Amino acid sequence: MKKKGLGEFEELVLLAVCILDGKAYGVSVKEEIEKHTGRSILLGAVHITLYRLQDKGLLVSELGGNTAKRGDRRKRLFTITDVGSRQLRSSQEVRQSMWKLIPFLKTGL
Amino acid sequence: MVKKENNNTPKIANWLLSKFVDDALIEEFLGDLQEVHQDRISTKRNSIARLQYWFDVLHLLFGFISLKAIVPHNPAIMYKLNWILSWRNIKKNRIFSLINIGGLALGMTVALLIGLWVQDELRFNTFHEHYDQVYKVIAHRDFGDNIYTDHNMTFPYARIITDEIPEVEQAVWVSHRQSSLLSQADKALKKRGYTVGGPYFQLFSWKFLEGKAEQALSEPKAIVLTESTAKAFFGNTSPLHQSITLNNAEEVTISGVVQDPPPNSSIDFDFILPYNYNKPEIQRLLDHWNNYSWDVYVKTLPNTNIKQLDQDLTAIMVERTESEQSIYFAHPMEKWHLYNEFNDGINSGGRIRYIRLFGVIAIIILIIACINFMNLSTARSQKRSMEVAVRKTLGSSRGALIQQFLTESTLIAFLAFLGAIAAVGFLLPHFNQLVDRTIAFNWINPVWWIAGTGLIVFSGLLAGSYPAFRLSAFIPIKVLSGETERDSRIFTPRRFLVVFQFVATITLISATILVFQQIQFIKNRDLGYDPDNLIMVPTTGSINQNFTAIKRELLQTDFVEAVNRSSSPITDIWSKSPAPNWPGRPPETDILFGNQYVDVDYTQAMQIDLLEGRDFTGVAADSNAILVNQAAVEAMGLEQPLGQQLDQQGDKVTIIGVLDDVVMESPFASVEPLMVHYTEYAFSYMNIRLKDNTPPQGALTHIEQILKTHNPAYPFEYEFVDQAFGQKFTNEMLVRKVINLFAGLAIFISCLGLIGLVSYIIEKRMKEIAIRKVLGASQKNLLLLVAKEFLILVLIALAIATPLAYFGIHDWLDNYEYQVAIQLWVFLSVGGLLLLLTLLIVGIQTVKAALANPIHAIRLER
Repeated sequence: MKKKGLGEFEELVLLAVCILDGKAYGVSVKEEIEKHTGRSILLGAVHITLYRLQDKGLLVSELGGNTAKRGDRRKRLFTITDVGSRQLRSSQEVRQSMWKLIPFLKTGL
Repeated sequence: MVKKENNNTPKIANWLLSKFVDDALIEEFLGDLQEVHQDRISTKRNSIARLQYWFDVLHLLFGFISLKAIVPHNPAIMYKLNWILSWRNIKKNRIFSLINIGGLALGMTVALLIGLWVQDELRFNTFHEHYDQVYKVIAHRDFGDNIYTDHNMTFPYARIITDEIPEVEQAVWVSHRQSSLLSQADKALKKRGYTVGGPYFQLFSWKFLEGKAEQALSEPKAIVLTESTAKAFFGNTSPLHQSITLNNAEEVTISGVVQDPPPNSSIDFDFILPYNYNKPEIQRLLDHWNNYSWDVYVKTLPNTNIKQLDQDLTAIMVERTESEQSIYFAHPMEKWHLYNEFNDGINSGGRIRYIRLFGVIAIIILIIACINFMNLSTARSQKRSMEVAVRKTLGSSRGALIQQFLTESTLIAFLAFLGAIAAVGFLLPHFNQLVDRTIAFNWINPVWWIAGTGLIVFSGLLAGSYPAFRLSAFIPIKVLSGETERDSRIFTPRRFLVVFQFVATITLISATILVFQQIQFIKNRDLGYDPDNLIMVPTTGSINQNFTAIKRELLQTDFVEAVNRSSSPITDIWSKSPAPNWPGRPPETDILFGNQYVDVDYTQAMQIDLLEGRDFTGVAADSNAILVNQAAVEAMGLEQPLGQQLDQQGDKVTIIGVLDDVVMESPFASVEPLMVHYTEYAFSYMNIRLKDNTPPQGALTHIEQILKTHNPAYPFEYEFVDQAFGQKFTNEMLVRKVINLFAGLAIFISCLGLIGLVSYIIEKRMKEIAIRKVLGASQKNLLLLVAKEFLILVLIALAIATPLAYFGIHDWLDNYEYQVAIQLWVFLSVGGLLLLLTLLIVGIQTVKAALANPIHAIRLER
């Protein structure tokens, strides 16, 4: 895995998957992100990102439970991998350390 | 049980998604989409929710087609595998493949040959540079009862229309084709050609080998020869500026040599002469508006309004002749060959009929061949169902299977095409002979390769479609557990195809027999004279002058029975005039009588039955006596024709004899009224009646010798009347020959298909047959068991084909006044023949199965 930063939307998706903790699939991720950001998000964008993250090895997935609301179709449930957690954390750390270097924040303005 | 909420997601969107997105993802996607959709329709209007659904689907589509491409997938390998598997399948079933490829190849051969022929016919005259701009002027002439369409124009017409009609760029006038004697040194040959006026070689692009097109006809005493004519006189030396004698009278100078007109030219000639305006008789023609004897061709400016041109063409003639009897119009060059028949002032087609007929037949044969393929493949489905089941179990998708089957059929079509190309190469010379053409297969022309590829793809897909979709639909578990699919429907597609094939075959064979019968019927028609052992010699040069001596010498030989002269050949009527007046003629009667002028011994030479009265004997009274035929007597309604006086435009003539009706014009039409007049000049033909059983070759040499002494300047020309009569059947003979060929091929292909089909059906029922045999079934029982289905199919086909062929043939026969009665036995015997053939094929295959030791079949575990 090459060291490569996460995109903003990728980060949001990863975070949502972590929050949902085993119940993350296309629709729930979409709703979770919408809830926190207030943005309206396309389902397709979520799917594309989920699969991209899976290809990068940050997520794994398995087919899970079905509900009548989905026409008895199964969901694909995503969970974060160790690599994923590490990446998310390191991205958080990068921001944190950068935040700390902002001068006027230091002075407590 | 899960409560199903109504799934009202857009179906087309779902289908689209499932088509283009990987199967592994589709379940999840559709589920997510539906979930979101359910939430939306609870808060939003349905239409908006659907719109959003579509938007989501499209978004997913764009997102995941690219995702699909990331998945490692190399279609080239799959295609290669398809080809390999197809090739193995073809090799595995040699006989089956041979039947398949052979049948298809035959069908394609026919399609290619007919395609070549049609292309050749359509390309008639296209070698002319101004193909799109050249028209022939034709007139519909209204004669009250009838509208005749003819192309005879007056001499000055072409000049006037060039001057007065702005759309006409150039116009030429051309004589009827004339036969002239060309002589040079000691060589004299009869050649045919035209005398032309106007810029002839600018309208027609005959290719000049020597001389220049622009100047070739500028001298009044010039002549342009074709290559072969020039060769005949001058060999390999250049003929340019040499002189040649025309009709033993006139010296002309060769001003050019053109290539021989190609076989696909409507105009054929050996020489072209310009009009010599120094001659007073030609001068006089220049404003002669009563003599209609010339063909007029015009070249229009590009994008001319032809309707306007037609009006102008008519207006000029109305102005000059003060008669509105005729309507003139321009007939485009592209229609000269195929649309040259007019009926009552309307273009009734012409040769195009045959082109359409053959085209349809070619397509039918190709379809029969494709049906064979479909039949054989589906019949084999039992065998291949295992393969399909195993492949499906191992994860092959239906699409991949369809692809596999289509690849296979396309490969077979390709092999068949190779065979067809070879066959065409081999058959083309014979086919050319059959249709009397020199068609060449143009290997370089890309159009043919495109058409060939089209043919492969078309027949490959057509032939492979049914097996591909049917076989790929098998459900593996059923097949693998040995459950055989029994189709209990009466009209299974396969039966339908077999019936179609039988129908096409029966129709073609019946048509063949009926066309043959019709031609035989016409040929055996009582002609009223005996065309055998009769020779016509054109009275060229001094034959008329020395006729008495010639006749005497001919009669002195031991093989000539009678000699006579006539103004036109017995196989045609050259002159027609309005009916003479007879007592009691209704005033409005408007019929034409044919005229023939003869000298003594007419009935004897022609062997026409004299029903009443006497033949001309040369007595003085003969000059105002006439013979009439039976049709004329009936037309005039004369009770006592002998001695009846008629008034022919002032001339009083007396009927001295009544002739049997003689077929001179179309053998397909009834005989029209004819008057035979006595004359002592104006002859065109000398008719020589040979005694029966005269060897013609010896007689001809003898006649030639006699004529050489009395007519030394001209070569000996002759024609056997039976051959001249036979030429009236050119089109019919062509139809007959081609239909014969097609019917033969159709039977052959159908039989191939039948053999394949029956053998597979028997293979399928091998166990059944074996068990029946063990239980004591006789061979007859077994034969009936298998044959029953086919016999019923043949009967159904017969029931469909009979009316089809009947009406088709009836339609064709309507072109003829004399029709053979369509007899039911034709269809019945064709059906019977097919039944017999089917029984034979089924019989051989069944007996083969029935003779086999049943233990082998029973022991065999599929």
